[in-house]
Amino acid sequence: MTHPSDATLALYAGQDLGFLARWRTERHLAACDRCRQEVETYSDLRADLPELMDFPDTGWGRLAAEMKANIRLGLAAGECVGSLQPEEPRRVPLFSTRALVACASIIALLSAGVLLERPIPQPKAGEGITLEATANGIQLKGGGQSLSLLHGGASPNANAVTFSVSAQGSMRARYVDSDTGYVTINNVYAQ
Amino acid sequence: MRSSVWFRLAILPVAGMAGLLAQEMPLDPQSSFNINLPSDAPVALRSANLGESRATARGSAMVVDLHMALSLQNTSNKRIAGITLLVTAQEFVPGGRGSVATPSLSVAPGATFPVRIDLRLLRPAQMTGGPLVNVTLDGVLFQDLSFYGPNRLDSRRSLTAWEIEAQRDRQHFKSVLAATGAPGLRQEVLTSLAMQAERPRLDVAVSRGGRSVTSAGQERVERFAFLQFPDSPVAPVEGWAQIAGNEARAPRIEVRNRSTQPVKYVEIGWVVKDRSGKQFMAGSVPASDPDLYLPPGRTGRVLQDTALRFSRNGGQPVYVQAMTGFVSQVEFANGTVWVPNRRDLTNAQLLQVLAPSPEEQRLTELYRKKGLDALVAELNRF
Repeated sequence: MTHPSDATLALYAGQDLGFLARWRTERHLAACDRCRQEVETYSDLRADLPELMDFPDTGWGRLAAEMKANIRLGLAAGECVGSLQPEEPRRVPLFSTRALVACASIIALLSAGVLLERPIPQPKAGEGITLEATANGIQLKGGGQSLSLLHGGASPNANAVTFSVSAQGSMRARYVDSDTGYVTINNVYAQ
Repeated sequence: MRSSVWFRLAILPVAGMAGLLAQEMPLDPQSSFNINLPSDAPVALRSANLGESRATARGSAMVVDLHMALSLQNTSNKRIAGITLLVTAQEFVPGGRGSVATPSLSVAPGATFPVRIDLRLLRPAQMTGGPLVNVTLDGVLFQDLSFYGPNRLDSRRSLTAWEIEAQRDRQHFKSVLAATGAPGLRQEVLTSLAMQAERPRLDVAVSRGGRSVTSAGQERVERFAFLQFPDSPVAPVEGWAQIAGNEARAPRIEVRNRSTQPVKYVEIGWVVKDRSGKQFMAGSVPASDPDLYLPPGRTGRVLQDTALRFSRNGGQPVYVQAMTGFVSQVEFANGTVWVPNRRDLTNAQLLQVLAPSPEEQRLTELYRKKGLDALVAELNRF
C-alpha cells in the first residue's frame, strides 16, 4: 500500500486539499489506521497552534524594531541619493504580457520536463505483450510501445490478406502485392 | 469572476499541449533506417526509397510510419526462390521483432527484384540515437533448396516448406491443365478462389506466458482429436489444451516419429470447432524446443506456453467446443522438409478450412488479374 505524503496528510487535516486529492486521501484513510492517526495528530496540532503563536514579546519585538530601523535607514539613504517620489503600488493585471510570458514559460518547462523525464516502462521479454491482427497489419504492443508490420501493398479486397498464428507467439499476414505480383509474408514475433 | 480566471488559466496548458500534438515531420533516411547486408551475401541493395514515410508526435509519444521500397539484385550464380529480411526496431519492446519474406520467387542471376517493408512504430518521443529500424538479411533460399544466411528466424525451414508447397501446387495445376485443358484449369482456379472467399476466418490474439484476458467461464482441459495422414513421417498420439470460454492456452501434443530418419522439428495444425459446429483454422503449434531431436520410433512432446483468444466479426467471441490437430510440417535432421500432399488435405476436407499455400494464392491472384493465358504462361515457366 502506498501512503500519502506527510504534506498531503497535513493539508488534509487543515481541509486545504483539492477535491480529487481529498477524495483519494479519504479513500486511503478509510483503510489505513496509521495515516488516520497521523491526521488526528495534525488536527490536534492545529488546535494548539493559536497558543503557540503567542510568542514572548521580548525576542520578536526586538527583532521587529531592528528591522523597522533598518528599513527606515535604507529609505533615508535612498533620499540622500536622489529624490524619491512615493508611488502608489501598481496593480499588475493577471493577463499582462509579462504574466502571459511567465505562464507560457512555466508550461513549456513543465511540458518539456514531462516529455524528457517520464519514465519508460520496460516490460520483461514476453510479459504483457500482445500480438493481434488489425485492419491494416499485425500489431505487437506492450509497455506503451507498439510495432506494426503493415500490408500496404495488398489489394483492398477483404480476402486479400491471409493471417495465420503460431502458438509459439508469432503471427503472419500473407498477401499478393498488387504492384509486383509477388507474395509478401509479414511475420511479427512476440518471443 | 473567479471561475473565469480559472477558465482562462486552463486554456493555456490545453493550447500548449495542442501545439505539441500537431507536430509532423518527414523522416531523414540517414537516421531512420539501416540496411545491413553481409559483403558475401547473394543479394545486393540497388536502391531504397522511403516514399511517404513520416514521423508524427502525439503527446509524449512518436508515431513513425516507415514505407520502404527496396530493390535487391541477385548477385549469385543461382536462381533465388525466396528471401527473408529481419526487421528490428531500436530499443523496442524486448523480444519484439518482425520479418518480411518473399517466397515463390524465381529470380535469375543478375536480375533485380523488389521487396516492400511497411512498418509503424509507436514509441516514446525522447528516444534518440541510432537508426529507428534495422533491416538485415536472415536468409536466401535458392531453387536447388540450398540456403544462405544466419537463419536466426528459422527462415531456412519456412522458405523450404513454402518452396515445397509451391512445387506441389504448381504440379497440381499443371496436372489439371494436362488432364482437362484450359477449361479444366479455369474451373480448378475458380474453385480455389471460391474456397478462399468462403473460408471461415477467425481473429486470434496471442499473448505469451499464461492467460491473455479474463475469459468467461471456467477453465477445462480439452483433448485434441487427430487427423492421420497415411504418408506423414510423424503421427500425433495424444494432446490437450486448457480452454476457458473463447481462450485456449498451453497446448501440449505428444507425437511419434514413425519414419526411418531422425526428426528435428514438428508443427501441428490446430483447428477449432465452435458451438454451432463451424470449423476454423486457429493456428499452428510448433515444437518449442530448438534442440528437438526425435530418433525413429521415439515419442516426443510439442508444447507451447501461449494463450490464444478467438473472436470473429469484429470482436464477437468464438467459444471453443472441440479441437482437431494434424501434422502440418516436419523437418528431418538432414534439413529436408515434409508437408502434406493435396490428396491427404482433400480427403481430410481440410482445404475448406486451411488457407491456400502462398503459391496457390499467387497463381489464383494472377488468374484473377490477368486471365487464364497469363496463368498458363506462368505455369510453363517452371
